[in-house]
Amino acid sequence: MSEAEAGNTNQSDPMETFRELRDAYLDLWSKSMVEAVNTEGYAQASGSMLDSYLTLSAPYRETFEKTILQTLQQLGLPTSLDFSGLAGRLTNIEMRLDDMDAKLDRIERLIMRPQSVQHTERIKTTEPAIQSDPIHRTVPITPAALKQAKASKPVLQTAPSRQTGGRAPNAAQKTTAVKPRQPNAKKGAK
Amino acid sequence: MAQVQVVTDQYPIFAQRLQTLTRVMTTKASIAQTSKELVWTLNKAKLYRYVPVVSQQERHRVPLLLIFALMNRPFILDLRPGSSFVEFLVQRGYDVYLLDWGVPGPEDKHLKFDDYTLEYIPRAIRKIKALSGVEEVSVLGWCIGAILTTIYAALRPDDGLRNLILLTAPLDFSNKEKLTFGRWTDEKYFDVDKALAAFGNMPGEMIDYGAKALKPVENYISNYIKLWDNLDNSQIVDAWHAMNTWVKDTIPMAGGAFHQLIVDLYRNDRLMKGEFLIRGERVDLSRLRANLLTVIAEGDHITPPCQSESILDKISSTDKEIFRVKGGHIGIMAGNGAHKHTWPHIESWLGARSN
Repeated sequence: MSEAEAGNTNQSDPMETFRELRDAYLDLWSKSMVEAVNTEGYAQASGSMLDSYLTLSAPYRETFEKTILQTLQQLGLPTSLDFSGLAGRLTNIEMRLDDMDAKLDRIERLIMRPQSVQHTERIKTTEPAIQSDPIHRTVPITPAALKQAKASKPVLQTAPSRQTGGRAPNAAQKTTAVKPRQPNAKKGAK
Repeated sequence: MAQVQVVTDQYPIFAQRLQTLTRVMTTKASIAQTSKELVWTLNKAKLYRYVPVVSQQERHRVPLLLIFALMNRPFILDLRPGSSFVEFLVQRGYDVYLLDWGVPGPEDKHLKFDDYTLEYIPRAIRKIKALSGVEEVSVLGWCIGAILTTIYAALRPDDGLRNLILLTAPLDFSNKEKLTFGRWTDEKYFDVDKALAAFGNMPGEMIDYGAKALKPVENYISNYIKLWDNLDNSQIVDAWHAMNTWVKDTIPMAGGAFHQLIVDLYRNDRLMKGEFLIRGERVDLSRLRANLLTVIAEGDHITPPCQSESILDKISSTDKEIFRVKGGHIGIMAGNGAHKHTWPHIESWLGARSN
């Protein structure tokens, strides 16, 4: 055995051999497990387990839910169904506010456009950089501007059509009374 | 005596490794650190805009919206500084937005693909247009997010969607042999109505179990052995810690959307057959005209490549491309090679179409 070979032997890590063997075994095991879970047998077994759990827990769950519901009703407290309904209504309000917000944006653009033509030297094109309040940039809406906005077609309509609940035909005028809405995390986490 | 010396020498090293292991297993890493601003909310959904770091003149004109899946947090796209796709794009002059679906509560169990594609995405895009002042937008959808963006692109082709990037998009469910999820959720074995009646929303833990059980040895054993082997390598430990933080942060999937995923897509492949209805409107993929890049992970066990390939034959886009990457479902965007292969390709494709 040469000195170099002897040196290599001395420096070799006995754990390295163990790791190689371990990894080779894990690879084999992994491949066989991937094949095993991709069989009808596994699908049937896992489906049966879930089904058994759901079947066995159903009576307890139903009893628990019924008891809670009756207790809350007797105490005059809102149930989870009430909260769900309320959440749905709040989301609908949010969507209406969002639509109004978009309309106001469009009106603002229409108002600003002629002004920018007349006063190009004073008003520079707004850079879409982050602003402290990027959603709401309120401007006074004059009756003449509203008339102009109604007469003009939107540049590109991306607002989704709402299926439930009709919006007032003159919603743009009503939105003038709505205070600007601040985006915040709490609203999203209701 | 010598043996005692070895033990005393090794003890501090072992203690240090144990301390590191305890830390990464019991704490959360700081993820999603790229500066961003909340610009829009609807119900639980939030739209973030990442703060630009290059001047307006150097920025690409068309903004980019990132949409991730419904059952995981989207911050895998902004994992940690130096390993963040968002950071990569922002540094290259993109105006980047991220739609975070939030965590659905019991009150959201009826939310369906219909709501996500016709209420949430169009509104988010409308807000992006208002903020950026540009009437065009690029959208990147990943996993279920790719399903949602594809449906939206087909339903609203005139909304100004210019570029569509799909990452590991599960769209074609016709090849039942290759879909392990499809086998598990077959109506013979899985009663989706019974499960949703019990849970309301599909629990995140169950979805997480399903994803991990596709490769049980890797996810439940090898993953931890790899960590143990590299406990002295702070770089690997930090990457593992960040990824584990994201993986463990599972969220439930809205019951209505889960029902559609199983019944309409996995079982009946209605999207590819042109039979998928969204609020009574048929999703006709031939109406999709945006420039399309679909990124396929060759080693993807969650979305096998066969699920993402056939979309190209169905759409009307003239500019369409498939980009194949070696790697898994998440690894292609968050793995070691992502910043060398996947990100630059997406960036160069998008850059050529964003001005």
